Amino acid sequence: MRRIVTALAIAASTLVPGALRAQSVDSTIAVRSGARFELQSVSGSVRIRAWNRSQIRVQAESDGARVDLDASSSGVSVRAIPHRGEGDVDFTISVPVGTPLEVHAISADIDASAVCGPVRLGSISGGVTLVCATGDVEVESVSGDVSATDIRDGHTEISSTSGDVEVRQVKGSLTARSVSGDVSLERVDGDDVGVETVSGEIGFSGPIHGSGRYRFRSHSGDVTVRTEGDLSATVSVSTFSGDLESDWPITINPGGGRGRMHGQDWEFTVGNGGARLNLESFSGTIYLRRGSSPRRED
Amino acid sequence: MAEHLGEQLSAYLDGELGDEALAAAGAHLAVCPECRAALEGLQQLARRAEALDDRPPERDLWGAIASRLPGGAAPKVIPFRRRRFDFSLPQLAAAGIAIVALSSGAAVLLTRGARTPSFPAATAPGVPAAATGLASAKGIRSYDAAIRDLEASLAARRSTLDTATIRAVEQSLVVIDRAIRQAEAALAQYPNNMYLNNHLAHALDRKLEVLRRVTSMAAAS
Repeated sequence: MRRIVTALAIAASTLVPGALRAQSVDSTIAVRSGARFELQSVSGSVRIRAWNRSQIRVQAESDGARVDLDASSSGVSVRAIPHRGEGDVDFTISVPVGTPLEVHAISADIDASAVCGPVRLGSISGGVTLVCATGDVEVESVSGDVSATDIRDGHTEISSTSGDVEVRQVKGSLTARSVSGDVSLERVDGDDVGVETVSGEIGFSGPIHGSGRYRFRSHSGDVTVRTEGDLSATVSVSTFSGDLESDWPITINPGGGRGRMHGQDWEFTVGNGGARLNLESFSGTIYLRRGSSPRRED
Repeated sequence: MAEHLGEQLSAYLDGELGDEALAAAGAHLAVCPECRAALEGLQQLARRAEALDDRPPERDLWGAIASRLPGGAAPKVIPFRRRRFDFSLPQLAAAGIAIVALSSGAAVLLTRGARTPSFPAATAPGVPAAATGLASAKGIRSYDAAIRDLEASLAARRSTLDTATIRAVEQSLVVIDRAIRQAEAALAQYPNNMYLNNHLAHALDRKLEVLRRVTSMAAAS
């Protein structure tokens, strides 16, 4: 394994105390197919894009931190080492399409687009944006917003503690979580979906597959499930002081049409009840909508 | 961690455990997600079975039958009793499959019927308040101890996190604490309510999970 240590601002700070100047790194490493890319950063930003070459290119603009780079044909590992706890680094990374990514940061925003491989991205206080992944995906932040679009053929875990969670166009199983943020899921096509937040709202749109399991849980936020196509599900609804509004005819409302209930804990069947749909909100309203388009009242 | 509750869960659900066993079960459930999941499955099964309609026949056939019997025998009345659930966990899995089939059939019947079906009870009839003991004092104390440990661990690593993150985490914990208090207040009103018990346990789990996650991220940083 080649080890490339790029001493950046340490030298600069020795020469010019209190006046750190931006330093640059630009390294390109040839890699074999399937090579991994790993990055640990502290603050600044991380931007990752795909390109049509069997190489990984690491560009970094550092404001005081050192950048260590370990490289081999099987992968590239980059680490930003802050000087006395300080030093932003703005990374721009180019990788072959399909490269497995693992990026962790303290306060850097992370933006990975068009790489379309398996992904693990985490930032404590930065936001995380992911566009295109295939295979298993983990996206996490503590205080930043997270979003993921165009995920296929794997399990997606996406969470933020206090930020919002947005997911669009997912094919596969999905778990999405927040505590105080909203969780918005659009065009999610999977048969195992679990979503929860404590004080935020939950919005979901996608097909409910006949053999699927879908769990939506909020404490005080509303839960809106918009189903694409026919619905055939056993629906359990739990709430303490919230309501249920359903576009679907349900057996506990023999009149059919849109139903509305107020209470605590029910189970009913729509169609032949194939899917399992659990809807919970302690004090929010639960909406079970027909069709994927949001309504004004949602 | 002690062994899983296994067949004790049925007795737990039916309120048949003594005080000591009840407290021990509550404490175990507070820290054992597998047993909580098994209990939840058992509760769902119980609710589904309760929801199966013991409806009388559409018309009283007894008169026609009795008139054909010698001496017009008096009908023997079989009282309705609450269904009792006493399953081992393997039986639970098999029973679940059967209940799904039965309840689907019942749902079809209900859909065809013109009358309003009865809703599954939010509480398990006849279960004493303490028997839904996820909220038992001992169970809560177990959570409290784990939460205190993690809070202390996080406090020790506080300096590795920036102030914005600390503020965000603290705000999130306030949100969860509020949810816990609201669930506890609701449980005080409806101590037998399964949903509220599960909801409280889940809120406590959520707090543990957030503390665990942030602590490990802080340690890694």
